[in-house]
Amino acid sequence: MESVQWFLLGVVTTLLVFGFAYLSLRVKAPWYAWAVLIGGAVAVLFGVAWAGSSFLEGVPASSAMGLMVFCGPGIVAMTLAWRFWVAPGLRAD
Amino acid sequence: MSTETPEPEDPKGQASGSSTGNGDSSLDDPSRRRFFKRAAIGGGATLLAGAATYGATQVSLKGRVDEEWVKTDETFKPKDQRDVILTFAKSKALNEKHPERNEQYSKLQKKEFHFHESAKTFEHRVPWDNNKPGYTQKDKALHHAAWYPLDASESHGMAFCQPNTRMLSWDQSDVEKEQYQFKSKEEAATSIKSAARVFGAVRCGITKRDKRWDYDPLYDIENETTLSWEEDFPFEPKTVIVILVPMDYDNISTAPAWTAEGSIGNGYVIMAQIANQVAKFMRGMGYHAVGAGNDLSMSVPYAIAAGLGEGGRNQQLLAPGIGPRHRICKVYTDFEFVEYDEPHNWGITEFCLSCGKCAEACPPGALPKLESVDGGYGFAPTYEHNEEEGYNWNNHTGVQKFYSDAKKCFNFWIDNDSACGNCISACTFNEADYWHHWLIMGVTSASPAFLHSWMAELHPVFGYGAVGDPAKVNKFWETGKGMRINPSMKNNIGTSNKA
Repeated sequence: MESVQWFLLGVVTTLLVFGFAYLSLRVKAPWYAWAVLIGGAVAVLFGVAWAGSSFLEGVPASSAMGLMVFCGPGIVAMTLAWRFWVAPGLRAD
Repeated sequence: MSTETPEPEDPKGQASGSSTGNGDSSLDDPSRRRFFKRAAIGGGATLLAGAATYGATQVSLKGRVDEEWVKTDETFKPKDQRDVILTFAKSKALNEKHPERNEQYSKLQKKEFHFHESAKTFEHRVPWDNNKPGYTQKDKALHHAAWYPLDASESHGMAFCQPNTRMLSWDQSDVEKEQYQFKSKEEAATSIKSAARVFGAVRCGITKRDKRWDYDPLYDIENETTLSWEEDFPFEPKTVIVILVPMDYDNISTAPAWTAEGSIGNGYVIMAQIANQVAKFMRGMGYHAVGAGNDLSMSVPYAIAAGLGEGGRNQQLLAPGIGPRHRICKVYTDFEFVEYDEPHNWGITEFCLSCGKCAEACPPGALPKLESVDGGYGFAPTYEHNEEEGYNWNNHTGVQKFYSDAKKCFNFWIDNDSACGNCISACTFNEADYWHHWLIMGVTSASPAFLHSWMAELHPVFGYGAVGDPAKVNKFWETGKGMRINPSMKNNIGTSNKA
């Protein structure tokens, strides 16, 4: 099961890389906007990987904490980056 | 925020898919080319970041060579096996010789206790209760079954430091006359470790024999007599092969229930088995060799010297990746044309100075808590009653380490009618084989000390290290559900990951 998890995370990571590449053509944003956006995505992926492995390990508390501690801030960071830098840039397109 | 400047349109006014002299080619579209270029850069950066993280973790997990791993003071001397608590408890003669030890312990702990009398009925005293998870007939049956091969081979005594048992015999009559000659020291070390691996070792290190860690004199409990290394041991050892034996994560998590004896007893059986086999392997190559479990010497310092881990607050060897969830056996040999391992430092002992989860989980309070004098770390015990004359008889003083009151630990075993294992189960370094635990281990090695207490507090918050939890007993008894392939050995059958 852990192998399936790594495969799926690889697929998601690849899609994210393509998504960010596309977004970089559509939106001109300062470097720190990209840092927050990419950092948030990395945190979300890390949290999902942590939660998945903890779930397979049979420790649901660790799984929940992984989602909360890593994915939570990641989603907040991505949302803020989208709200303040990406979305305005897209609307002006 | 503005959008990016639009790409110049081609002469036909098309945004993409422009033509060339050779026909249509979407790759000639500048925006597409830039998209793929950026995707390639992003993918490359992702791969690079992943490889860098993996590499840094691997480097961190290798630890640093630490030649100054042990500090002793002027009071240090080799340990007399007669003062080892398990040997003392098993020996009638030693209890008769030192009645004051039983009297003093009973008086100070305000309870009637006799080490030898208690040991006689150990593991057979408390009746099972089929309504109490972890203490049912099934758990007791697992407990006794786990140890049974040592009973059947009359070698159970090695757990109490009895030397020269049947499985770990001193007999050297089968040493081959011709000695196998290795081409290099590295080949010798690798061959020995390969043999240990196939027999079931989870770690193996090789170090020089160091008389500081050998019991001296040795003590034959069955015959109530001391033994000398010079006169009784069959040869002069030069090298000690140190082997770690794995213990099951889900089983030891049931501690201190009787269920946990499944992995404890099984660990001892595998200790005897591997030490027996590796010793036979050495004798088959023409060198003298004797296997050992708890007998002959203190296992933890030898394991540290062999680069397998560091000493922990719970008095055990903490090995990166498995923490204290292992047993240690040794093979003494006169073979010395071998590449020796070096002691390493991963910051584990330093982490223990800020953690203390094992001490919190210790039922009798035998382990030094964080608030102990110097955190319980020094050259002599600082636990309660340590100032009483003769109370520290079981401690090996004069070496810098954590000191516990093992008398209280043994007393709890008797009360529990089983060994405990809480200090293994609760340890922050006791983790299953998953990537995130390895990552945290790597981070621990590299992180500053002020983060350690914070990391230790997160361990239970994330759901790890709880002891005395009946749910873990039920979880263990479900681990074989629908089993066709043992998931905990899925990568261990038929491959060393190097083929």
